[in-house]
Amino acid sequence: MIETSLSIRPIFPLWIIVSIVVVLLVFMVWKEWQRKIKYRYARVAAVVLIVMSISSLLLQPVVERELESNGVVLLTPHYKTSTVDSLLNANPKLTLLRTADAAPYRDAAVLENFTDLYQDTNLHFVLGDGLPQYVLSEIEKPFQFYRGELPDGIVTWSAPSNLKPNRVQEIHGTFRSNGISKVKLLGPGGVEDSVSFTQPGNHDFVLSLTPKQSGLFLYSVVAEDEGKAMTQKFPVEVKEEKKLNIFFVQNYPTAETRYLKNFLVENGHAVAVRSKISKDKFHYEYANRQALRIDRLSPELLSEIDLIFIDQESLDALSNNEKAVLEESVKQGLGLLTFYTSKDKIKSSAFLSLSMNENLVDTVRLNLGSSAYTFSTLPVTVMDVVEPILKVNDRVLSGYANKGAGRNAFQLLQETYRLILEGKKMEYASLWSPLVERSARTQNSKFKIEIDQPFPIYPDEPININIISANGSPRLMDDGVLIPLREDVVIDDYWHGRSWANETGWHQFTIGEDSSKQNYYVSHPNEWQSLRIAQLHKSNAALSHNDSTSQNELSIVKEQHPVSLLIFFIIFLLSAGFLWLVPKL
Amino acid sequence: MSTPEALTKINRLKNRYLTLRWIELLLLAGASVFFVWAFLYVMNASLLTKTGASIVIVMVVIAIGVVRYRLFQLSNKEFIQHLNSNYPQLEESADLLLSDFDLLTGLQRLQLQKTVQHFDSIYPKIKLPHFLPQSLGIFVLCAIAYFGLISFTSPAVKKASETQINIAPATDNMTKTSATISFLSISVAPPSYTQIKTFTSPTPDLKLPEGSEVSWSVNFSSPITHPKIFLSGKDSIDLRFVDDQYTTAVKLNASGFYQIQWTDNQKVVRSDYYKIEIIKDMAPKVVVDNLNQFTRLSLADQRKLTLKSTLTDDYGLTRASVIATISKGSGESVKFREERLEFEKPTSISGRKVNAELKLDLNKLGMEPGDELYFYVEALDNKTPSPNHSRTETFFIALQDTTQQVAVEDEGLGVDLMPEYFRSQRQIIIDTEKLLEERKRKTVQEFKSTSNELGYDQKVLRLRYGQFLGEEFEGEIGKAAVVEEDDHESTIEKFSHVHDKENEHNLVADKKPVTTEHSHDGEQKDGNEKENPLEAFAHNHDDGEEATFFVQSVRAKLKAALTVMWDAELYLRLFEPEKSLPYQYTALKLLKEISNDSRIYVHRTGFDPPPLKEEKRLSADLSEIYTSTATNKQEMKDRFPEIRKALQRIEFLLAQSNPLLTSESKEQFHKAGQELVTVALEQPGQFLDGLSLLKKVTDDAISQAELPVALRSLQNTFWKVLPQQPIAPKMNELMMHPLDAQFLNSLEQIQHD
Repeated sequence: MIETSLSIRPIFPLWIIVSIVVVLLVFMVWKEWQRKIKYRYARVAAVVLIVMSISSLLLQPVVERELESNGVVLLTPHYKTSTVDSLLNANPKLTLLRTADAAPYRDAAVLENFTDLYQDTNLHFVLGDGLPQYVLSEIEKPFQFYRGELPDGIVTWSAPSNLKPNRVQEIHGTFRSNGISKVKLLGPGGVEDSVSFTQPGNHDFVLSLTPKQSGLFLYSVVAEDEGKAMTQKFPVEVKEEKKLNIFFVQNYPTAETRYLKNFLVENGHAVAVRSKISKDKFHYEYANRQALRIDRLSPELLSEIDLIFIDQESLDALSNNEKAVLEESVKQGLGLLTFYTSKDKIKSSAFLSLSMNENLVDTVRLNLGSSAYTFSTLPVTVMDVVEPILKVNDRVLSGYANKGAGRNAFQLLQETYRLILEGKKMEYASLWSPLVERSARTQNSKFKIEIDQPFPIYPDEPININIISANGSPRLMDDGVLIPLREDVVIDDYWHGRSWANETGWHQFTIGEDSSKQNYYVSHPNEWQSLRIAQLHKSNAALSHNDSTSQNELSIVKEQHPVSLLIFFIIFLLSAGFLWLVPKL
Repeated sequence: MSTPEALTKINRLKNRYLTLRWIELLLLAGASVFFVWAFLYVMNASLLTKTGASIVIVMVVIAIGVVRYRLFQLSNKEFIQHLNSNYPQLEESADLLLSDFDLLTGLQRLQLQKTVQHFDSIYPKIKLPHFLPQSLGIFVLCAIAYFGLISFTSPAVKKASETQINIAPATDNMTKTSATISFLSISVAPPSYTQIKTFTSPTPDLKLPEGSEVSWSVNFSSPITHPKIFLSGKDSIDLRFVDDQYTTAVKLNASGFYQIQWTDNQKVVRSDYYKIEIIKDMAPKVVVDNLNQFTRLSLADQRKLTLKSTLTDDYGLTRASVIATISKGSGESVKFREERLEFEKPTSISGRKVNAELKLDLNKLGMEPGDELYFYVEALDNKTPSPNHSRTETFFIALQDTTQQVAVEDEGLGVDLMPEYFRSQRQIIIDTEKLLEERKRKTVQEFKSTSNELGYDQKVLRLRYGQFLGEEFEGEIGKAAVVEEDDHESTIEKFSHVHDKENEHNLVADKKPVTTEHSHDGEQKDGNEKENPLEAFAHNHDDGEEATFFVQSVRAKLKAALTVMWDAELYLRLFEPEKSLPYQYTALKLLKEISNDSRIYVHRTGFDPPPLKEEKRLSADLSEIYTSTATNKQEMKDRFPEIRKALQRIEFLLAQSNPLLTSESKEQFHKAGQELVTVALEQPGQFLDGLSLLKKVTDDAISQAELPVALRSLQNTFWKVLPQQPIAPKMNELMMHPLDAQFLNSLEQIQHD
């Protein structure tokens, strides 16, 4: 027996509709009652019908029927037989389909192609690992998803997309273990890091790695679970470091700038220095670059510079024109790092300064590397909203404030150069490098290629690519093969494309017009299975309208059929027509 | 003699002959055996060969002898014929002796009779032919030659025999076409002083004592040319071809590695790298067991000390002694005398560990109170040519001199204000307070006398300070009592400061306004100066007032102190110590201030810069000063650039399913190898394997199947070479979509609003 039931999907909140309808009904019935013409009861009935039809149009009634026909159950690998049994018990008319790699189940037919699902197939249930991402994006109708057992192994994995040389970087992940287990990260130089678990269950872990050399590398992740070891290749791209164009302006030479300049020059950055030696007399210094005109700040000069170091006195001594140029350049993306040498001078200056309050603490103890150092600091606290880079006890010692596309940075620590004198180069670098790097101008690439696919990518899978371009249409090549792109319907200069992963190994997306490129690695299909299954579970669950695996919800599957609104409209027309006709009779 | 007797004699003769011949043959055989052995020894043959060759030569010699002398076929007849031909006395009839007597004719019988008689007569004289002396001579000669040969053989030959122990490390990195090392023997001769015997290294990796001579003997599987040994950090050494082997020897003093290189068909082949690890000869360790570094002996202590020292060395000690220096006197008259003392027990130092003892008799060393003895123990080991040397820290033994005076200087004071033989003001105060406390217990007489004594002390103190002010008129301390007695003034007048007008007049001349007389006094002085206009120009030393050690303010204070001391003394003399105490306190306070003031005085002698002329400041002519420009280019100190490139190439090769080594890759690896060598030189233990592997890879000595493993291992080595570098800032990349720019602009506007 087929059960049907009626439900509504009101356009407006129900109480508004009901109250309006009741008022309308009472008013119209009363009006109709007052009219001294024939067919009083018929007219009242017509009015009631009119109101009812209007309310029905607003309420949009829906007929719900229990599923009676050929709903489809798709079995994907690792499905639970018990779930299928329960489903069939409740709905014996279901059609069973299974993917080629799923285990056979009674009379389940093999699904030849996922495209069959896109058409008129009435997919209601998906069991097991789930449908691949690219199939999910084609299926619009939600289905019910009953996930299979999650395998042991790494189930989440998030690594920085681009690693930087000589820095400790972290990979976060979750390992689902069965007992005593261990995860090791092996780099070209041997074991980089490892973590071990004694209890079964899900364990979050962090692995750190320090690449020493830029390039494309394959690290190995060895997961040992209960004595079984599984090696999986993890692609690591260490990006070549791009050098900065730095400009120092100083009112008088100081040891601090001198050592900072040397440090930057040693790292290959192009540095220009302008130090005032007397009135209108300057000393210019260029390192790793051609000489250029730096006697005054011009828009041309500043557009070439990525980061300008300037001391408070020089900043104050700038002409109004120069100040305007500097401010505009900072808004365009230039990084400005001001050396504050005395707290009194900060107050008197307003230009590009951050608001600071006096603070009595003029020393700070920092833990750098293995030991702690005491530094003198400017006895002030920055009051502006800043992005902190070095923070001690909620006091920001170095950081920057965003100013347009550029950054206005500051360093409150004084005399940091003594670290260099003590031979503590690593510690010195850890003080300055993050500040310099984050406050400097960012390289404006014309295009940005985003691979809209989580790691891992397997051979013969489609890869969705999004490209953000700064004016101009990109020509995307995947290993030299042109990939067609279409622009986003809504957002300008946002392009989408789809490529197919080739065989296992490194591949590269390039954009013809530019040097923009994006490397990606196609993993071997046997590797990272646990991670992939965990990802499938998540994406399938997002599309399904249940996220429970409890068996008792399986029994009733209903279909909803909205009642045609035309009927109500005709009733309305007929009733209204009758009311119009009555006086003429 | 009958015929049968003659027959037996003939048989005996024959046997004797055969015996002689056999002895002769055996001697010759022996001689030939010696000869063969000597020959084979020179040829460096094995024992088995020697035995085999000996058996063969013995057989040959005996066979020749047997055939030559027909030793087994020799019949009586032939022997008789020999007798007949050699002894005419037998008249060619000796053969009759063998024939059957019954068959003989009468004449023959007669002749037989005769022959037997003749035979009998010549029998003792019969000489059998043999070369026994000659054979013996040859045997002896051969024996002498053989033993002589083996006794005086050259060492090279001897080593050649030793090499047999050695295993030949066939290097497996050659291609099949080129010659390989078929035999390698390395003999290590440590320097003789180590007393380690020459040994052959079981592996081509060497571990040897410093200064050892290493000799390599190499055989190759096929003929080659230009064999060389490359030593790390040195040139190559050519191998010389001696006795079918390529050999060379070198003395090694530093760790490193070596490689053998040879040319085969114009193709240069190199062996693996092998380690050379040098065991350094350590300097001796010297420890003094029983003495502290500083020993201070008082007069009552024993002047005899036993010095016990433990000396150790890794190979052996040759000499140890105690170097002692005695210092006498002090200050500029100090004298030093150095002596080398040998240990008493044991008398001669040798061996690896020695517990040495020496009795130090300080009296014998001529030490007196106040003298000091410095000594250290020094030891030499047996290293040649220059022995290692080490010594202990210097030890001190001081004899205290109790008669010495110790002068204590008050810091900060230009002059020692307080000679030790008079009581300090503080002491007088303490004594006065004590006196007041004990007043009740003391008799009046005692009390008065103590008070008077304190008054005297106070006076001595005042006079002492007075000396610094140039108040010499009071006379010396000793005479003070006499002066007192001569004084006819009343006691109070004598001691009261108020009435001491003349003195007062001088004292308060420059004083700070302590007393009312000051201003008046100043006027008077001014008046004096006006009276004498020459004073400004005269260099007046005579004024006692001016002739002090102190500047004016100190002088004034000192005067004030003296004034107060006067009063203090007065009341002490009046037996009223309680009244004296406040004055004493004031005096003490002033004296303290004086000592502080004198410190300031010292501080004031600094450099006083000439004053700056304000109008000249910042007014220099800068027209000659030009804006200067400096340019420098500093290449980024990227260490090991080739290794970095090689790392990327390895990664690229490993990413391929079937990596193929192109000549380009090999070239890159070769360059990386050169950088690796520099690192390997410093740490051969860590990177030598990698270097060997790299060589194999570039030499194509690795099969295609093993290549990925080798590359991975190589990658590992390269990665380890790269140093940990400080974080360098770099440019970040950011994509600016026009929308982003718009967003930032809007944000800016909001902030402004």
